[in-house]
Amino acid sequence: MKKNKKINIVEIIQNKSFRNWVRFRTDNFYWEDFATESQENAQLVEKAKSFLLTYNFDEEEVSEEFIEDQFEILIKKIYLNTNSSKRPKLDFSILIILIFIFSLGYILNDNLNFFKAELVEQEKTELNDQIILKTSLGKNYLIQNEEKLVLKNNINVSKSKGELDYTNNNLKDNKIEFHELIVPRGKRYNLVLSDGTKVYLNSGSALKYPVNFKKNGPREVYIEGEGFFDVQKSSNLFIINTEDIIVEVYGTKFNFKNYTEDENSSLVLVEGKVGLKITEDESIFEIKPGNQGIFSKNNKTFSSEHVNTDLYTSWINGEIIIRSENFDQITKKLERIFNVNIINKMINSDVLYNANINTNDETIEEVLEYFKEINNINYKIYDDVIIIN
Amino acid sequence: MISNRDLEDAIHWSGMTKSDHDAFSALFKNYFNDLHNFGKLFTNENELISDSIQDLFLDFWIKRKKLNKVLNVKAFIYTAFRNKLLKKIKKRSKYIFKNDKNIHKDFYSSVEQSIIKKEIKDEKNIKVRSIISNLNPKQREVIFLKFYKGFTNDEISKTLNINYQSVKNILYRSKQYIKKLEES
Repeated sequence: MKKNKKINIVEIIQNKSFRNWVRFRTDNFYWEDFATESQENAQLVEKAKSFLLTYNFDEEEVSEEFIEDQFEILIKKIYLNTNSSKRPKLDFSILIILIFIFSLGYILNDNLNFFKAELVEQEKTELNDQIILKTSLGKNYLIQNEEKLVLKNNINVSKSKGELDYTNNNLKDNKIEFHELIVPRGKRYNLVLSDGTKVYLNSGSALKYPVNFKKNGPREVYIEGEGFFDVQKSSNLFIINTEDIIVEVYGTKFNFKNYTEDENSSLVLVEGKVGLKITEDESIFEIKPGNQGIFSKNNKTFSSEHVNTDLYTSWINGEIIIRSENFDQITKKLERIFNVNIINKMINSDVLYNANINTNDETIEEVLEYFKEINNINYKIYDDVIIIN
Repeated sequence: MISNRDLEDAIHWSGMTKSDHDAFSALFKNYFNDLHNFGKLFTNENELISDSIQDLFLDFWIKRKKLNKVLNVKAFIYTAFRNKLLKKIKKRSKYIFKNDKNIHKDFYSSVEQSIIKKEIKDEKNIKVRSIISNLNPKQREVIFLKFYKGFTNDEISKTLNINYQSVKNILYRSKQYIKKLEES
């Protein structure tokens, strides 16, 4: 800018170096000279200054710490938001484990799809951390410990600590009614179905089942999440329906895993015989005992490998065994077990960890302390959100 | 002409649409102060402004995969933020006032308040104050974006959703007002 050129007030105000000079009172020889050059200039500068100081939107500078804090709040919002949008369907993050003592069954071609009537979307209420029993009449019951359960339509379901028992219910055989048990994150619950099949439901899971199984025809249930099944011997085939695949139980113990957020579903067979098939498909993929069958949701293909089955079943006793898993896999598990949200900012996800966690008496803090000691991680806990650096 | 800042924005933005956390964080940190100051034009409630900025970036992150077609990042962010904040002010003022006109009252009052603060400091600024109070809210926004944030006229027209010629007119009239200062 040439000093001799006549400059107007708008140009001065628009000049960034002038604004900085006014705002931050930094040394600026150009404007200092300019102001002292003539009476006229001095007045101009004075007016421009008073304009800027009066009209001072730009003056405030927010501190970096404040912005940092704001960003952490944002991260928390994002996390809660993306999680709650998933939650209505429950994270079916899970393994289903089946213990089944029987064999033989037949494959019904007319796989009735009535079971797949999708799980009713769970309302976003404060009930989110309660175990809920939904009936087909649209009535919901909260399952709290040590409280007698009286169902409205006189179905007799006995309840003991941590377990619902349908074996002696008095619903007439010709009536069909479905119940759905929803177990939120951080909780576990057990069920005995009308045929005596025992189901251990893990955190963040839901099972839909008939109050009474049909006398003839397959016993069908629909699961989201992780469950351990101890299937009762019967001449009727036991079928587990999921979003992508169907599990046919011929007599077996196995462990089935169908996480929505995972690319694969997997089934670990302890003993006996189990078949997997893709919904609406006829071909059956059989799994051998001690093997894990994996279903790729992207490719719609099955594969299998040999595994240690204990790793997949220990959770029913409240023990989580982690072998050679990366931190991302581990945090997913911790989120479900302890009902927390974990934001993992660690870049190195190649490191594999081993750990045994007893969920009955260890807290999330104790678990994180363990990782902190041996693996040099840092964490901060904000209520139910944990940020790991 | 593409400035360094615009280039940086474009890189961060495209990173964000590809779920890059660092790019997202950089974008947030680069814009927080600017948007905060911009928000000051409309309200004095810092919390409302911070909330709006967070909600804005929350939306960006949720919809990130659909946001890869944004051409002018700066104008897009300012526009979206402006809409978000005005909505919040409107929503809140529903509880306080009964009609929409009060948004402008709110707008004025914030500028007016800061003027009053200054008034106590400096009794001499009567002329300046009268000139500023002659600027309408649109003119103030345009001046803010043009003088302080270096927006082009085209960017201002996109951000405030007014046509290019109106931007030129508003700017011209604002400058005429300010020039009156010289005559005092």
